Amino acid sequence: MKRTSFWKRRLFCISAFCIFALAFPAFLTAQTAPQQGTIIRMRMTDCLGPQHAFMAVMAGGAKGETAELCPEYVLVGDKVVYVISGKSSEQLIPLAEITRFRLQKNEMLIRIEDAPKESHFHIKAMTLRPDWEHSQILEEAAANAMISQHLDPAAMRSQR
Amino acid sequence: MATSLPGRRPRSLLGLLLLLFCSGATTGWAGDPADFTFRAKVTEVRISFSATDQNNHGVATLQASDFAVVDKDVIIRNFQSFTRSDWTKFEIAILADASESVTPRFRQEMAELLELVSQTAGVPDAGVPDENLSIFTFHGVEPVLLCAGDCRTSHAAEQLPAAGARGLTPLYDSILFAANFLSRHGDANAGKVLIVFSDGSDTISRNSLDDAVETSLRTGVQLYCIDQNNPRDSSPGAAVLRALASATGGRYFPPNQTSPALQVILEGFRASYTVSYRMPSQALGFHTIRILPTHNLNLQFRSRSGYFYPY
Repeated sequence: MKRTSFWKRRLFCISAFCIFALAFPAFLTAQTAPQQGTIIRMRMTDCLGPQHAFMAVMAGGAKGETAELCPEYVLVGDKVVYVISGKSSEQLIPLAEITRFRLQKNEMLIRIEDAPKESHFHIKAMTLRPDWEHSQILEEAAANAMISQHLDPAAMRSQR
Repeated sequence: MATSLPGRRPRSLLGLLLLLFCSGATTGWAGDPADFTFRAKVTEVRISFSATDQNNHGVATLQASDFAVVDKDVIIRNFQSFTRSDWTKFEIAILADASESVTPRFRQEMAELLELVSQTAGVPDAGVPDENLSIFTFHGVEPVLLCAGDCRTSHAAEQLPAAGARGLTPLYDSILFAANFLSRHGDANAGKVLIVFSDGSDTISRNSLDDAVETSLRTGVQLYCIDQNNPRDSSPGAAVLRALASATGGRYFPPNQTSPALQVILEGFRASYTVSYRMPSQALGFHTIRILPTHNLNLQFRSRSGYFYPY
């Protein structure tokens, strides 16, 4: 009885190791595999601090103390929509139709034409694409409603 | 920015017709034909901009695929039209600070101004005929128009203040005054250029920096600011001059770099383009605009900083 239990435990350990050994490279590949997307929005916003930018944003504070503005982009990938931020005001991405990128250690790496190495961007937010599209529809509807509200009384007054 | 009616949208057209009918009916009842208010949705934005390379030279071969417009955060790559702006005429006004704040450099300022005036006459194909150059000075409470359009033939030098700089500095009021003058003066299709000789300080204006920028944007006037501060001192006025130039699609020239100013201004106009696109959102208020490269990050674009909606 004891011997059976020993073998069962051993078998479990071996299977767990195999699963880990097989899954780990896949996980790594997912982290570093090149992907592509389209940048659809861009604005200048307060720069994040040099360290732990993702954690700072998640914690809802700790903005950079400097008045410098950094570019922030919304990049739409196949399945995920990323909000990324440059680390300085000069860190601009060419706004081509397709941007190629890969993920590494909570950062997005983008190779810019003629640049010797990839540029590192903070990832400020990630949303699944269907969720993001849904929120965009809601936002657009709210904006349209506000515009109608704003314009209608004027139109009514002018008609009177 | 220019606006146009969305002729291809039947729903908008229907709405417009309905509105016209209602307006007509109402005024018919009231018996007062002066009460018409026409309202129409505008969907097209038209922006002029200039492009320069890493050596600050105008780019004459720009393609529509070389840049994208960022309109209130939204990136636009599909344009309705993209053409070279054929500026053949310019309407130039020079605004010279003659207030107390520029006293240390006043003589140099006047010398630079006269040099600039003489350059407008000497540049072949400058597109600045004799009747298209005006000069203002400002000190005290309001600007003074020295010559309107005929500054080269009327010998502007004789009318420049000889007594030296004095009085308070109404910089923003003077910019408003000159921008409104330019918008009313001369050909409507001419490039409107306001060259400001100033140290950027303002001590008495009723209007603010924002008002000066807003009026320049509304009148389509580009500001080119020539800094009159001491090159060895850092002055907050320089930031004001930079802001004015940047917001209106003009340029800032640091102290003692006046001599190529006119060449640079005219070259910028020659390498300028007009792009039009469908407005990405009808959000009310000011739509900020940036033009950015899609491939070559060495390209620099200069345009007005945005437009107001509704216009």
